[in-house]
Amino acid sequence: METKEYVINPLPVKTWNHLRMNSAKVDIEALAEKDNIDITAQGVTQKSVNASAIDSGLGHEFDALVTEAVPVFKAFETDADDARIRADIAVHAGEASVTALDITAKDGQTLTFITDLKGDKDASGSVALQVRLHAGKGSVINLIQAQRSGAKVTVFNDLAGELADDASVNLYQLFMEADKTYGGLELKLNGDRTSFISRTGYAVAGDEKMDMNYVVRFVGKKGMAQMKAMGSLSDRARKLYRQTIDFINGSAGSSGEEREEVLMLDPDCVNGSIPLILCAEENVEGEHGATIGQADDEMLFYMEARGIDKKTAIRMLARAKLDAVCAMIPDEEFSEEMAAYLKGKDEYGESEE
Amino acid sequence: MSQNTMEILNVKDLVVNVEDKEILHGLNLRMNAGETHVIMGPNGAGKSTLGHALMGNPKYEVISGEATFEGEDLLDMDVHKRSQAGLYLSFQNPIEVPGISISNFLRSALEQRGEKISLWNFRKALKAQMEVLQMDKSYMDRDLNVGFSGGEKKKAEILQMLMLKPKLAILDETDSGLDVDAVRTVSVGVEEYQKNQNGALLIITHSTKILEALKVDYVHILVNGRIVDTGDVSLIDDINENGFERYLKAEN
Repeated sequence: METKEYVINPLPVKTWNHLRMNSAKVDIEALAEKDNIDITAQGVTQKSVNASAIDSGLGHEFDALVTEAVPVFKAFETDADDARIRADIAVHAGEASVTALDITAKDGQTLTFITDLKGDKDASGSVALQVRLHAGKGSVINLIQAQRSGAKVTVFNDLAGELADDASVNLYQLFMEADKTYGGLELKLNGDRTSFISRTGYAVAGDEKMDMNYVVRFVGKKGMAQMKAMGSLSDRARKLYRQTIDFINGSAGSSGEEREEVLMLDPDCVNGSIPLILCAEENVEGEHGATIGQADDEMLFYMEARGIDKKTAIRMLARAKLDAVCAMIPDEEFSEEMAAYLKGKDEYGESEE
Repeated sequence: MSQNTMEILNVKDLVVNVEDKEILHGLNLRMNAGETHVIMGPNGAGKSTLGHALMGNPKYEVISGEATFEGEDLLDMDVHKRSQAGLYLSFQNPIEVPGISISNFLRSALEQRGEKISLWNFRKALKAQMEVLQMDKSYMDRDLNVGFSGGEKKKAEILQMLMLKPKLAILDETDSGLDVDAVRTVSVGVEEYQKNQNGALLIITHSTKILEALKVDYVHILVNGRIVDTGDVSLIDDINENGFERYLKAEN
């Protein structure tokens, strides 16, 4: 399969080159749209819009790749005050698929949009998803994303969006299984009094790799953003998480917070965290923090002393981060589905051993 | 004395090191099912070491000796197997387990024992035991021990004991650091275990408040890593009055 090297997940401002964290270089094979998406929606209109360049978390090179592969995006909008759309995207063996979706919440609407990347038993290759969000005045978009593509799949999950006055975007993500995961987000809080909250859960195990780049740009006044990622690393897993809050000149009265909780379950896993705050405006508040924890021997002994074997104890600790995000998902049906999936995944894992 | 004379624990000549220092120097102890034994002793005597060594804490190295649980070689079992066999250790300093609620933790522990219990019945049982311990029901969905006060942690230890229904529970200074009311509440939980579950108890304690409502079969005095005296419940009054001085003098 012919591949080409791309530079993706670029930091808005470079740090030391020798750390090799400024971006990721990835060989990507030619992506193409496939008939692998199933949309469930009520009272929603699907249209087509011509692709155009956008600032996204995975960066310009990746965005160009998407717009070349998908000249016409699937776009969704509704006249209902409260709507729910679910996009199930199947991942099959040996495919290199791409899906591009354009979501609009009109002024005052509440829209829940769910994407579920789900691999079948033999899933391999790569799957790319780009979602573009347009949140109108006073609208609310709940974007819920599940990623369970499979242990042989490379995933590209790219988000871009813009918020008008008083708009809110709430993002819930569960990254549960992939060989390599590249995730990106770039949101522009253009309006005044906007709000963005994200909760990203992940469990990276084996030789899996995760590389993320989340950027929130405050343009309007009195915007608020809270980004929190929580996950676990085990075996030889590697993870790099870039979180940037960018206060543009004029974004007075805004506040941004970026948090990360990482549980490292094995000495061979590698964690990288880059919390970045860029500030061209004086009257703003920016906070960042990362908590790196370990499953220490005392904790494992305590769990074993209650009859839980070590392997299960470690699995429970790893899953706890995903469970926590799962419990926050505002769509009850999907939250329960993911909770059942996570539980089943554990039981399946046990029965295999 | 208990009418049930089936041997549950037999410890012979147990020698245990902690960080290469010998703490227990050939300890002997025998318990029958349903009996309550109390171990008293001055600080540093090795009381907690006994509990942790029996539970299998890897920091406590068994150098020699034997320990059987219902006739099975306890020292040869993995830690989780000891628990599943019916041994329980209430920690003096319970560990915080972030991300795992009391409810999830206990349900997993029961499932690992092969118990299939519906979520509804499990939560009902959990609520009933929380009532015994006067615990707010909201605690069942809180991360285990995270942000709990000292008293809440000790109650959570007793709650786990009541839910897991061990055959022998070792309570390692469960009453330490608790105010009078908390000791009373914890005692009610221990009493519940003793009466309704016919569980054996090995109570490691400095104080005797927790023992007031319990039927105690034997009291052992542990000094310098050895049991130096064994008697009935009257030994507690003797220690309360005279302390451990005579034992320490005899050892020295």
